[in-house]
Amino acid sequence: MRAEGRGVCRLLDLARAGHTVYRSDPLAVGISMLAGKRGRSPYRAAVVDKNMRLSGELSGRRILEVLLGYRGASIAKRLGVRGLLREPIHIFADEARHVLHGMLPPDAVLHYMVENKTGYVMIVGEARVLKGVVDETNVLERLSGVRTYVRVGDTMSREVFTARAGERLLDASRRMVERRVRRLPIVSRGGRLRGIMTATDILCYILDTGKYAELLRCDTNVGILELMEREKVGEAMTFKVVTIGPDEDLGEAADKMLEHDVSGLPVVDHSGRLIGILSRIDVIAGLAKLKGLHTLVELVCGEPTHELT
Amino acid sequence: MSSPSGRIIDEYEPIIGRSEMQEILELAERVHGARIIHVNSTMYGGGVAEMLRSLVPLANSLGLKVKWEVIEGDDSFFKTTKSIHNALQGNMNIEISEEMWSHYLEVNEGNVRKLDLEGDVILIHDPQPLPLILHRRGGVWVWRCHVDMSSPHPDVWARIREYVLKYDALVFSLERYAPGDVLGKPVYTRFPAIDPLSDKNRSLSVDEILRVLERYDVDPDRPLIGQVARFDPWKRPLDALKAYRLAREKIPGLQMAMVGSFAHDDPEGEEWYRKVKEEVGDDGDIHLLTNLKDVEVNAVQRSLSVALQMSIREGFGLSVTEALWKEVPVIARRAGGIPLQVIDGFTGFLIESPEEAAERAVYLIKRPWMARELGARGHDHVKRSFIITKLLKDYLRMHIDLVGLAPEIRIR
Repeated sequence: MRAEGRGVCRLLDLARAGHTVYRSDPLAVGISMLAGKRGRSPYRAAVVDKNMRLSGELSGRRILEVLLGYRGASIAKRLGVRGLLREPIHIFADEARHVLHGMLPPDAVLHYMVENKTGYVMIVGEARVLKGVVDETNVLERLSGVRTYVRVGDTMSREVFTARAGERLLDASRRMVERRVRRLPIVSRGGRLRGIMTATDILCYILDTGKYAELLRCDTNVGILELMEREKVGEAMTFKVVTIGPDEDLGEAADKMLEHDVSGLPVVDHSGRLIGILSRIDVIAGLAKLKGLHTLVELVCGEPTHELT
Repeated sequence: MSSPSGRIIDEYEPIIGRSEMQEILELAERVHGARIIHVNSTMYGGGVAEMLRSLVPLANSLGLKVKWEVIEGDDSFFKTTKSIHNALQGNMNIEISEEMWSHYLEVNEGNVRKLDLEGDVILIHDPQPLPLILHRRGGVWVWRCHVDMSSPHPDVWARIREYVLKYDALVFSLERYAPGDVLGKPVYTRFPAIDPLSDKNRSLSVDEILRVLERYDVDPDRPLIGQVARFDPWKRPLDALKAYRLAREKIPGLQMAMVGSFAHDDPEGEEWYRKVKEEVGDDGDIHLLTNLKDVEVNAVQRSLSVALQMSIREGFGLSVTEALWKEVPVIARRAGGIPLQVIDGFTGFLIESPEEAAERAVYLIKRPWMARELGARGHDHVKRSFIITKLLKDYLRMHIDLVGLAPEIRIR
């Protein structure tokens, strides 16, 4: 819902329902939700009790950590992976990191997101009842069709962790977890972009191809590691990748992200060489940094506009 | 030190609610009887000791067997560890001689005999007891680093990293604090937290507050601003004084409280205290308050119109958390976890300079209704995110992760 003016835009107008899982559900349910459908699955879900009280949060990375044995390995050792997947989600969740109250005005949430470079804020009411989630998408939607006069190259991240298509899936997945990134662009030896692999892609690959059944027979994480050791990145990656050039406008980047429903865009030069990566929060934080937070607030909470001065 | 007679979780129910309490009990049941050992280097002063003082009895009352061990060392050991701390935090002008490194290891080795390190999970806090890992006998060893290590001194980090890589898991206060070259290790991030029932944070009566102000000669009828921080170059105490003096030009009669402590493991503190004292001179409106009791710090914080935190580096910024809990708006630099707590314009103000801090302080003192509003939001924000029970839940989940199900728990 678009508010008519800054004064009447409430926080909950900005929030959306968000994905939730029950804290007592088995971990397998959480995996299914976060890896249900490639490209469409949420990266994060709020963990709630039966009364919708917020209990924690679960992310794609957390699930990968569990499958790779960084988390819960001792439980897997005791119960086997099958047993581990039956354990309740709340054991593997984290405390919800970014939780704000629904009575705050929307600009407070924007300030908070920009200052902490976080793209996922949970909004609660009294007694921690989850009211909704403000994520990068809600903000990007307000940027759609707007010319910002900020170049992608001025706000992208230049430090990019990559993988090769012929690399073992296990090594690339470990890199993703250890470097704390959600996606790895896949490049050729010459640095040209070949595709991309996200945490969701990996989870989907495990679920999609019947490997899930194999996984359930594993006695410990070692079985999963062996499984992932056999596979190559090329099996799980997405070949059709949406890119952007460094001289394009941030508004254009926002449009592309929304249109193709992707969380980040590899930035390539005219010869197709990877030179950076632009995530949704890079768009939001970059705009706030280069145009001022007040401009972002006006854009999100104010009258619709097509151009920034 | 262990304290089986600690407060029970029920006391937190009015603050956190029944459902949160049930969640804690459910998690605790899964690691009932697990032996957890925390090791740090001081029992008094500093955020880590304060947190352990609350966390240890709380976890014990939930059926875990938690002990708190403190390593001992001489002045030169603590001088070395302070240098290590500063170097890891990004001070590039530090040199640590071979002699200092070997003394660092010797002191740790000497402590092994005195400490009980037999447990299921051994949590080593900060760099001081880090090399104890060289003498591990069993259990899962976790290094809990409270320092911002995003850009450490390369040479010092190279030495420290040797020990860090021997640990089974690492815990940092913020995700960005974890250095990039600790690959292969499970890394947890845990926000630190305050204990709302401790002497430092519990509600006080008006009489209790007035008695403390009288004791330290603070005039309760005039506005007071203040900074609570160790005397340390990173905390920028002189910037706080500058901000105060600029604000006083606009608000005659304004008073300032500089509250700081000397931790046993902080030899640099005394030197910086002298610098601050020199700067204060005979200014009677600046109250330099050192080594106060927790309840006294609490009283002073509760009487502030505005809290300042001019630090350029913070582990997390628990002094800010404490001020917000007491409904005091905070004016602070963007250091450590401060932007998680101070939402600019809504629970306080984020600033860059003493000049800006002074301007914001004057603004809030002249508009008490607004300060009240910001303070109330700050309290609400802390209650949701930075209360010790949340940290306890995070730790319980980590223990479950690391030790699996405790022997007493029947496998379904």
